[in-house]
Amino acid sequence: MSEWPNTRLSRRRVLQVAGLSAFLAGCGAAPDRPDAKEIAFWHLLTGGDGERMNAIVTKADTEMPQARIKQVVLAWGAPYYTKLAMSAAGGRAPDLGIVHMSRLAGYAPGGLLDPWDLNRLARYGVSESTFTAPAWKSSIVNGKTYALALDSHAFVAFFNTDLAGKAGLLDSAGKLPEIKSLDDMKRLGTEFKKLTGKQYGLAYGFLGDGGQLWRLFWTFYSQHGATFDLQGEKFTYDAEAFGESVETMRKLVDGEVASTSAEYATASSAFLNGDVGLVFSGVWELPQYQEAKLPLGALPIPNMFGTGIDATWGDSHTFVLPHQSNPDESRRELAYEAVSRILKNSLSWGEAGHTPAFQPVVNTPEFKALRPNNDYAITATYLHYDPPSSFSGSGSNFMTQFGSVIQNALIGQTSVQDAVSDFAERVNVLISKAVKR
Amino acid sequence: MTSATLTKGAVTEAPKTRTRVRGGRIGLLYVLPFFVSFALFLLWPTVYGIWMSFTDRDLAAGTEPKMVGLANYAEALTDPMVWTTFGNTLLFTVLTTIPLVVLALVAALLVNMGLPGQWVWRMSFFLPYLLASTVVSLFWKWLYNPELGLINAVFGFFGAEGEKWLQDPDTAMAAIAITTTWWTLGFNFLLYLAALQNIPSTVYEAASIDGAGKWRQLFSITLPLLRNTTMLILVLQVLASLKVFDQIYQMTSGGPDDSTRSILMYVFDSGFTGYRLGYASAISYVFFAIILVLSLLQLRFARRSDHS
Amino acid sequence: MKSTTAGRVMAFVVLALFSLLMLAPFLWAVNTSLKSEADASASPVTILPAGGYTWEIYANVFKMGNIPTWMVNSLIVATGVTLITLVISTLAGYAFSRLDFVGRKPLLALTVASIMVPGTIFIVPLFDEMLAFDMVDTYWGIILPQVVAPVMVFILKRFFDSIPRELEDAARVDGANSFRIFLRIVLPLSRPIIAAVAIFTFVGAWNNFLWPFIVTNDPNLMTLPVGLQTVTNGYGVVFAQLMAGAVLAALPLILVFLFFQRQIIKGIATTGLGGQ
Repeated sequence: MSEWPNTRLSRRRVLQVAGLSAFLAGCGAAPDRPDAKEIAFWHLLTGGDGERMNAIVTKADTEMPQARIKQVVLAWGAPYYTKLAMSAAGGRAPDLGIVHMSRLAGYAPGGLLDPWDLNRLARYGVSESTFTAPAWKSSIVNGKTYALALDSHAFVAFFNTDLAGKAGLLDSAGKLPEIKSLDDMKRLGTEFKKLTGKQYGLAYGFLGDGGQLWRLFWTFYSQHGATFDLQGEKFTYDAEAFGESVETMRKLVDGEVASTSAEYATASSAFLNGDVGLVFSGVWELPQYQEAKLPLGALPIPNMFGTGIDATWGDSHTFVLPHQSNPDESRRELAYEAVSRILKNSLSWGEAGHTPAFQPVVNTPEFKALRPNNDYAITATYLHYDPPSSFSGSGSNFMTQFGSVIQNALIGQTSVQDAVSDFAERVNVLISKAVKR
Repeated sequence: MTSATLTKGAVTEAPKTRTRVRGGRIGLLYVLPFFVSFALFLLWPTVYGIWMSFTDRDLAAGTEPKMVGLANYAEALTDPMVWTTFGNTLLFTVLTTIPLVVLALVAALLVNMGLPGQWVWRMSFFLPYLLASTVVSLFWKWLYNPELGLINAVFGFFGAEGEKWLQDPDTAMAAIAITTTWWTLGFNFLLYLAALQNIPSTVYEAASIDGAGKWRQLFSITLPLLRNTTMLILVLQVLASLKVFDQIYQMTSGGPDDSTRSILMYVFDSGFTGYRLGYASAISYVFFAIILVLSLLQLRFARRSDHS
Repeated sequence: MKSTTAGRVMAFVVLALFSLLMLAPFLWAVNTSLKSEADASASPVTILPAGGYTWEIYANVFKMGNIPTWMVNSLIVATGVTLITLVISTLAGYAFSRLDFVGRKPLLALTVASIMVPGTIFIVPLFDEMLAFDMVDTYWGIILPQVVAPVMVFILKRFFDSIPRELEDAARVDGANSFRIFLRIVLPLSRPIIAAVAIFTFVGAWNNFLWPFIVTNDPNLMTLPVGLQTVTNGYGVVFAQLMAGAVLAALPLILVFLFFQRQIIKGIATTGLGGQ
């Protein structure tokens, strides 16, 4: 074989690099508090949410010198939930975890979670009365409480008050005109376009994102007063409401005022860069927009169907105890304390855009003074959770499949009717394939 | 499990003198560590998996799994997703094997010409092979981004409209195939290069004297002499493609619309995301049976061509 | 193969383009990682960043502390797998080659047959087994299943077969037992193959994704490919950060390659080691 050119790396250089890496590895670890027990806390909060949770946890951590709360953030959706399940099955699960309320039906009955002890919780000032009724009700499975809600978070519309003002769209109270139909919405987008001279006026990131597609859909669908039943033998739904909701989404992103191929990240960027005037987004993006010092306004997604029903997609982050085969009781106790402290410190979670579920925080004047949170806080009262089942919920295959099928209708690859029946077929398959417990 | 495989015919045969040391128990001690691991981590899972496939073992439940007989197999054989994902896997195999043979050969032929810059050429073809799947997927997801990716930007530069690549069921599998080709080209490239360099130049000189032109030499001399290498590459390629998981999981999670979901991914989904470990085992064994048949066919084919 | 100058120039151009295409994804990732996030996500796409190049993304990545941890884990796992695989495989390969013992033929046949079985198919029962052994989320859980390498045993056996027996026979006449012969005579002669086996096992273990992904949930234990894929820190505009992480993850093995080019090339070329 011909000579491979000889370009060997000097051993010394390699040792230097190795030494540097080892040093850096050491740098990653924080100085240990002696006797502090490590509480592993898993969650899937990233971006703006992640930063806020980090601040709250750090505060709780300093209030608890006998503990060291170690956060672990995993990729949102199926990767997080699958890994959480596998670790709970393995018995070496984290001490504390976050699970979306919409996912509870898949975890609690399966033995992957340990229930909260209400007496222990009461000792830390956490009880039924400290939560909203819907949040408390949803957290009970088979008579036991498995989840403690941190917040309610909805899908809303954020808009750029500066651009809106320049386009002459704001009234004296700084609000956008009432939007009663899709045409109204599109007119808004056109005004933004004219002002900025850019290609689009509105942003909605949906490409390849089942979650985003689901959120807007479920908002529209619920505004028709309709729902899904996933726990029977067959999938039941309102076909007309379904079709009309998807058709509305399709018309929204037909390229006239919104991009036909925007992803979550690119829609975010477009709004941040001032290329569009309004973005459909989860409330958790609020910090990101505020950090960029965007002049921000917000409103619940209006009912454009004339049904007069107030509804929004929403979910809650809840705290759970992943199943441990041999729980260390002192660490468990610390987990209880940690949760209570996080809940008590959740005002800044409100600043992150969510509406806290812990009533003692909600009832403070500080919370009531937050803007533009106040403009959509009302959504907590008409939040519509995902339909419960063992295979649906935030980041599930159900959501992904919804995304695949409906996306095709939005980008014109299939007709709306075909997409609806295609999805119904798939749901029936999911129902038949769901684990029987 | 390791990621290395064997080649046939690339190692010279050992001399046939066999005088083994008698006194036969010592040998057992030598192979013991290997076979203990082998039994624990290869044999036992195989057997245990068969048992699991006859139960309804649930990832979550702490209770004893129930025997369900052949129900899982019946379900697997009639599960449209099993066949869809198997079809996807086959499509992936075809889409990657052909370029991975042809392009590797072209690259090896070009490099073998001895043009200046040898180290640069070899490095650039082989470098991707050293990257972990996660790295490859991160690089290429970024390239394929419909709004901010380099590929669509280049398309735009030439006035063409970009594709949605990983977000479009029509292009996603092809996109992953392109990525995989880029990633693993280097290995085949090296095999071809080594084989090319083993061809003595006298063969070509003789042909030139006989008046054969360059292209003639390529087709009548070089390619036939590379037959063994090509067969080897084909076998390795097909076996590896059938168990594809990493880059699909990392780039598209099997979407959009299940268009890229491979069969191993479906096993993973059913078992770990869907909690049904028993069912996932059954699917694994159905797939294993298919691979076994294919391998045996390949062995018979190779043996027959060896005799010819 | 002689060819015309025009032909060679054409070939050179084609080769250069092909080469550039192969390097482009890596170069583009590096380029992105040196921009600020705002520049990385700027539309339309440009090569040069409007705000100039910066190291800040790499600094952020290191501050987060995950990547060094994962690199250490990868080192532990890859080294563990390599050492154990080497020991048990050379012992077994030598025994198959030189020693006669009960069950030699069937065990050898079993080993060779198992090469055809792609282990990734048995991830489900293997995971369940790890649950039973309580080895999920442990280093041993990651390392042990990877030390079973029938391919290496076979390759080592064939190599040992090719070593002339005179040396060993002479030593045996002098009264040395088989283990001393193995250690003092056969192993030193086998350096090239052992180096090749070691390097390929190391590279394979370092890059292995599927099994470590399945058996580890605790990010403190994750190896580099698994950690990079599973743990995130940004949903939204973090393109530069992702590229920086990927580039850092690519570097160690590139260094290994630069160090061990000869052995790697020879290993692939002569034994076909490393087919994925």
